[in-house]
Amino acid sequence: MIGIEDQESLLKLISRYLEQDVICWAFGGNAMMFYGYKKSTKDIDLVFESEEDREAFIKAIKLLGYEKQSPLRIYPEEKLADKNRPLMFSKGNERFDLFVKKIFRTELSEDMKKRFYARHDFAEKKSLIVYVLSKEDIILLKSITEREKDFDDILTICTTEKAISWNIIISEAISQHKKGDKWVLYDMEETMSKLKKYIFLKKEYFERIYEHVN
Amino acid sequence: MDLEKIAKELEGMQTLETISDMLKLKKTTCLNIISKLKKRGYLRRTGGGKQKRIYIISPRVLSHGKGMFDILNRYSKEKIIPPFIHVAHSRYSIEEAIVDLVVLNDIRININLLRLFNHVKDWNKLYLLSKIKRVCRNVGLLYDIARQATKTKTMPNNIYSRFLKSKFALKYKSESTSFKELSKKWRLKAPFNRKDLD
Repeated sequence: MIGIEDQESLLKLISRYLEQDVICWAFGGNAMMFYGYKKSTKDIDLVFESEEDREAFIKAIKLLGYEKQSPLRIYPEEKLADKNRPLMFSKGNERFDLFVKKIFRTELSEDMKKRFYARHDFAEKKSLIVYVLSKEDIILLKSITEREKDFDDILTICTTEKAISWNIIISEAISQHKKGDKWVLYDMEETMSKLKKYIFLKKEYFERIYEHVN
Repeated sequence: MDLEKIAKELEGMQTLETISDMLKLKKTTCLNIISKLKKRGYLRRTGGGKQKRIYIISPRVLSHGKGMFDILNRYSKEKIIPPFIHVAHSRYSIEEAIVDLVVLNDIRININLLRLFNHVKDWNKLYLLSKIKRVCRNVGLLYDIARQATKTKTMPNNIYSRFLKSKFALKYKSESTSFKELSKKWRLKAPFNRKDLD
């Protein structure tokens, strides 16, 4: 497990080992820590804009002792067959899940990039810029990754944050579906159905999803 | 002392007096609590000196470090509400802030950043950063407008001519017809009118 201050120190340290400037987007428990929803996390989820950036990042974390780990038993089996599955590196209790452009079939869209919540710069030898995605996009992407604690994280966001725009989440899911992501609407519906037990969700949100699935 | 609980109770903007009222404690005790909240990252302060000190408190840990908007608001007359949170965890200079702010292509930010040119220490660095972000002529044009509008340090001639000759410029979202001579010189229309500077 890693806390907010340790995470910031770790990213700062990584930037010292980078051989080129790297830009990435945070969307997992690490992004939730930047928001203040969580105090610690096990997995640091990052999505890069290019394979070159991910390679540079991997080179740096390998120098810090992180080792490649198998994604088996962490992600659902059907997702592991996807070519956009993450490369995973761990050391002790911390783990990096590193994606490029797509989180499985869901792409890091231009709208997601425009909606970002915060930008954190770690500049030592080279600069590492971490953009934190909006809470809406974190909910969407956590619905897709379907790991053990992802639903708990979504629930934490939904119960802590009053102003969540479900229209943004559903519009993004529909847009991803139109681009060829066949899972996203099913994953979203499943998450929303589970969430219904804890929070109020308008019927029209479900109807928008069903309209596009059929 | 449960600092998270206190931060929850005091969430929002506070002054020393309001904190003292809410916690029903002496001001000196409150100052002690403020210091502890700050150390744990639950509190940020603005103002000080002649201005009234205002404390921004949140039960979520506020990130440490300064960003481009902190630098902008430190030197500009009008204070800008940041469109997003920016935190630089390592060294972050005025030169970097100017270039990052220009890239945002926002009219209000462009007007307010003019004052930053008076605090530039390394003009060469400003040029190199502008070149990386492809905004050389934007920075050059804003520098010349700043020279007309506010007190601004002089850029060395050799660097000025590098800015002027550069092929890199970002097209502004809004373009004005003011500053005709400068627009012609920099081959770029200004992002705001002369009147906007009043």
